[in-house]
Amino acid sequence: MKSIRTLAYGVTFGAICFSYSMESKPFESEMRRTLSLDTAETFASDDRSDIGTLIQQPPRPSSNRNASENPNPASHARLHYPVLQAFREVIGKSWMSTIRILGDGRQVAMGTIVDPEGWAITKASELPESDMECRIYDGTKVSCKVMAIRSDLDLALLRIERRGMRGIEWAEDDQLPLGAWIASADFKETPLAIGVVSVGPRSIRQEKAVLGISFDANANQEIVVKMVLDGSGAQRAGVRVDDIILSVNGTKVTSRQALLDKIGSMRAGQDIQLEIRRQDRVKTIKAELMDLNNALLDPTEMEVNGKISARSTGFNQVFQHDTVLSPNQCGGPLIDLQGKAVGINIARAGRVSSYALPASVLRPVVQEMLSSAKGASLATTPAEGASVRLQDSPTSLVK
Amino acid sequence: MLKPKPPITRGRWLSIVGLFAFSIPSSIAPISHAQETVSQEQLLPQVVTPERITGSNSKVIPSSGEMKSSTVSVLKPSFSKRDLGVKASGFTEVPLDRRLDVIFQGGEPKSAQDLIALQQQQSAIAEKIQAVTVHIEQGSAQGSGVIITADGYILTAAHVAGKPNRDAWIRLPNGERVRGKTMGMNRFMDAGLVKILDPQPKKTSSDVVQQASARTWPHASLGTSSHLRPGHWVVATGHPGGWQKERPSVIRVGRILETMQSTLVTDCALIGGDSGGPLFDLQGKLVGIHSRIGTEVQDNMHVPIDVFADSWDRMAKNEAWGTLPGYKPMIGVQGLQGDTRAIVSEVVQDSPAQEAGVRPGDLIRKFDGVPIRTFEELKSAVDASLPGDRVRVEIEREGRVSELKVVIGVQD
Repeated sequence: MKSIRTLAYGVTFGAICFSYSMESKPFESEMRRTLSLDTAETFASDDRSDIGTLIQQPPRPSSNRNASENPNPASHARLHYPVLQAFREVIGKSWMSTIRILGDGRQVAMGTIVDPEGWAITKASELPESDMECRIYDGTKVSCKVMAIRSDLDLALLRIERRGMRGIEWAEDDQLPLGAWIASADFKETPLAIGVVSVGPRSIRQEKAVLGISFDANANQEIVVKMVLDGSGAQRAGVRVDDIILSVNGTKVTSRQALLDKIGSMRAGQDIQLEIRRQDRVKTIKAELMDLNNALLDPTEMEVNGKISARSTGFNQVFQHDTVLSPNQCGGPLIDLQGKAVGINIARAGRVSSYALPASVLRPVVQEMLSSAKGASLATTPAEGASVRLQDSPTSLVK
Repeated sequence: MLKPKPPITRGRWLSIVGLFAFSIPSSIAPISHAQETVSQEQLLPQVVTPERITGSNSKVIPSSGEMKSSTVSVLKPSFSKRDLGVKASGFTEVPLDRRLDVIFQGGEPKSAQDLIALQQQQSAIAEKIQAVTVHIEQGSAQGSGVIITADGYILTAAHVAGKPNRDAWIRLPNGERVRGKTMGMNRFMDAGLVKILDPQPKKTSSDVVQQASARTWPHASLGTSSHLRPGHWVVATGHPGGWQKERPSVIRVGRILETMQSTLVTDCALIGGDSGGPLFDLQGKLVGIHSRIGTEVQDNMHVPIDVFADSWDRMAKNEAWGTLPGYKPMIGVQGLQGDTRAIVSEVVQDSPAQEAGVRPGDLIRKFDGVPIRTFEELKSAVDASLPGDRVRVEIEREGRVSELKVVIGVQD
């Protein structure tokens, strides 16, 4: 009998199920060809290099391509341009209430105009601390500023240096049936992307926020980094093994527990400032906290999920839809077939899921934020504006 | 007999096991039993006997009792391949809105009116298909499935079902968990079959076994996949990420991008846990079962429903055949030239066999509990296993018999 062989290859188990060679990506070349100026901006912003120094690119390839990056996918796709165009009628004038928010010239989020006097809401955790501007429907760039934040909703209220804007029209009834179409508006007539309601309103449990390191106290009671998780905020910020953490957000940390408590008191998507000592040199690093679940994804999961919002959990009431978005496309309005805004995109949570805050949740909150912030801005010089940080409760407004 | 079709070489498996469990040795990995049929070459249908059922391993599922042989009768298929294709009955069919005639043929909505009509159709289907979509746990694997008959046959992916004659837990849309059993599967196509076993008879205080009341299951209306063309609109659901208490099955809408004999590609985004979940056309008829994904969000692959119809007769007889596309199991040993016995002549470097401690000269006596007499039998036994399985291998070395644990690998 001939020798019968059962062959083996040195594949590790983690890799086994995924060791297929993917065929060519049919849309990629097409996508590159059709990039417009606008989309180039979006595309470039995907690098997220605004977050600290990149030691290494975060291992999140640019999968999950969406409408603006890929205006002409296969002619049979849901996102085929003529299908998107059918939604123009639905979008109506909502696109004039949609802005793109830029940090360092790169898109960090979308935003929704909620008041003609230049007030907009967006996803708070995607915003840079300074140098923020936005691009509005007429194509101009105007400066904008954070005036209030509701961290429980991850919602920020912005003041835009432009008056006479068109405030978004909220839907009276945001109870959409499953499978209902929703269009994510862009600042132009054709929507950014479309999708359907996948799951009705529910609460998404808050995952622990993590920095992505393990650490321990050494003999001198100093906090030493023992391990840095790939793809974590710590790694992207350049934290290394054996770094000694001296202080966090300006406060000295003297014990393991103190550091744990500090991180535990923060939310995913927030930046944490670390003072570290490395070989007798002290430096300050800023790293973004992320949801524990996202930090634990293995490279394959990251690849198929595409980019996920740093803050994608901890929402009291959101509905889930299947629109393909990237994290920097959250914050803009979602329009139903009646042409009204049924909510705003608040997180990209994975390959099959985007989350939206429903209009019924937003309307009262926005009213509260607006009246507080308007009051506050009247109380100070108009040019300065007042940055009011609302914590979890809107009543904790400090003027 | 069904001829093996060319394997599909791209894609990632979508059950939870595909994403997590294979990288983590599972403590509840299925333990095998001699009753399993299956080899790629096997053409004779296996007959289901009570022994096969009772012989299956019930340890896979915690807290489950012995499967009574009285459950065997329900495993007899109640309809044939022909029925599967043409049966019009079913719960999910929704009459097509006349305004959607063009869109149903793969056309595109051109106005808000078109979109409203399409939305009404989608939403009507969405609620119905949730009622027939289930979550399946089989050993350490989790996935989705869809009920297709009143007596509880469930279509799923072969890589969710795992192996025939295994206990499985079926989570119904209302959260209730009922017992099921895996049946046959066509691994070439990733088509699998599971049967809900009626709820166990309840024991009364006098220990008299009472007959459980007969139960009929809401089930999907069956379509055909042969008419599908790129552009056709489809509605998908399933349990991405596994069962979540506060969340029903998740609705997605997309279009067919590509049709092949063995695979449908759509832009209904899928992820681990969706495997085995259903894909419906705009009339609410089942046209596919979720199987695997590529990196791009438009690369979502489904098993066409016609594959199930073609494979039905064998699957219903608990036959399992073929290997998952790009997923051929191996252990990494070579047989001795000129000897039909299962004597290992060579162990491949870094192979599962080597890691388990198999050495050249070892005689393989048993594999996964099955006595092995020839190297050919060993090959068949390996083919019948699944990559990631932990399998007991009995070897004889210098007259001494010992048992090794091999974790099945995958051949490139």
